[in-house]
Amino acid sequence: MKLYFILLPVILLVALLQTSFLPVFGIYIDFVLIFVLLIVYNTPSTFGTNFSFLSGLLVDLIGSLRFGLFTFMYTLFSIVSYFILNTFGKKLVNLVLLVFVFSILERIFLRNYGDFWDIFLESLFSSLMSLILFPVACFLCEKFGGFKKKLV
Amino acid sequence: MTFNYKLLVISAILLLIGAITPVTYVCGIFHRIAFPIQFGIRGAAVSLNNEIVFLRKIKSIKEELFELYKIKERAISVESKMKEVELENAILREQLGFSESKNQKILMAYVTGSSFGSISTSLSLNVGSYSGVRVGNAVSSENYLIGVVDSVSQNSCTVKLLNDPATKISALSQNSRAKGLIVGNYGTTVLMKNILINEPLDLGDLIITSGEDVSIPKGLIIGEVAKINFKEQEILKSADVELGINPRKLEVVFVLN
Repeated sequence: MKLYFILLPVILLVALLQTSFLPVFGIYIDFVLIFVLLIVYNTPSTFGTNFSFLSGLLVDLIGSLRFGLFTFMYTLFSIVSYFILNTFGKKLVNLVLLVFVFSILERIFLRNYGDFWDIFLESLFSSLMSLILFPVACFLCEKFGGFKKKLV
Repeated sequence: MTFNYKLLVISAILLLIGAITPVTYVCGIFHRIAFPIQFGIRGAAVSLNNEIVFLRKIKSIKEELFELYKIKERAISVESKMKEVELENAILREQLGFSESKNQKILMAYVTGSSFGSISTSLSLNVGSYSGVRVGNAVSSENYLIGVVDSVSQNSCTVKLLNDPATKISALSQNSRAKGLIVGNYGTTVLMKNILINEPLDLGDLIITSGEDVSIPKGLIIGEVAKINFKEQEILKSADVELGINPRKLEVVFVLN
């Protein structure tokens, strides 16, 4: 419960920044998706799926797209992530690949088709960001949620 | 391991009912809370971006300032001429019994979000169907056309910018009256195509809206001709038009409906 109170304001802040602050500088990375997948990696399925659902709900409430789109997308991504991490092992490389693939899939969900190389590079950048933010997510989950770090 | 499929079902239901009125009403309440915050954040970002751009361009600022003084002098001269013409025009209208069209409603809107680059070029505004905004309404700033309203919800709308590839607007050259069709191409320029090869068009010509599109008024500035493209054997030519206004820096715009 304590972790929800820490993470949800962080998600709200990140969502506000990525919709209003970062586009001015030409940055179009879904940091909420990265954060959701990092939490999914570091927590059990019940917590991670609930957290994904709530994060999607927050993004839907402050965004101008159709309500429910992000809630459905993040919840679906978290369930698929748990399935893949259980099947292929909880390895950092799998997490990075998940961030890469889901960043591309998100564009398809949102019908944001653009130049292939731009989408590819932005997804690659998202994967890199997930590596940079990984220690932060580990720290938050361990410190406030009591979930032990499982880096392979 | 068991997965929480209940949440997936709930989220799918939320997605299905996401467009019905009670849900959009609840979202509207949250939008009203979030929009001022988003606007503030965006304003801070634009200011920071301007500072960064200023620091990068500090060497050329002096030359730019000198050019601006020249432009200012020219503008004062043009303004004084315009005042005379306006006065003359008013007298002529009065004599001919005409009156200026005042049935156009102008609605001020704050920019709350934006999307530029390769994916789509659009702005999110804090006005929606409640304020009378309709799909197809023109959006302008300082008499420059910014784009056209693409989608509308109760308290917000999305504006498709001029450089979006889906944008198609009838335009003409202010000097030569050469007509063409403005099509977006993601960059800082747009393409004016379908210009007859024998119609005169020069670099630096001001391109304005022709008024042929029902919801876009005539005379809104689009930009200046930066490059003319033509081949001798073709009957049509095109021109690259540099946009007159940078949508990244916009904070307040006007919806014309």
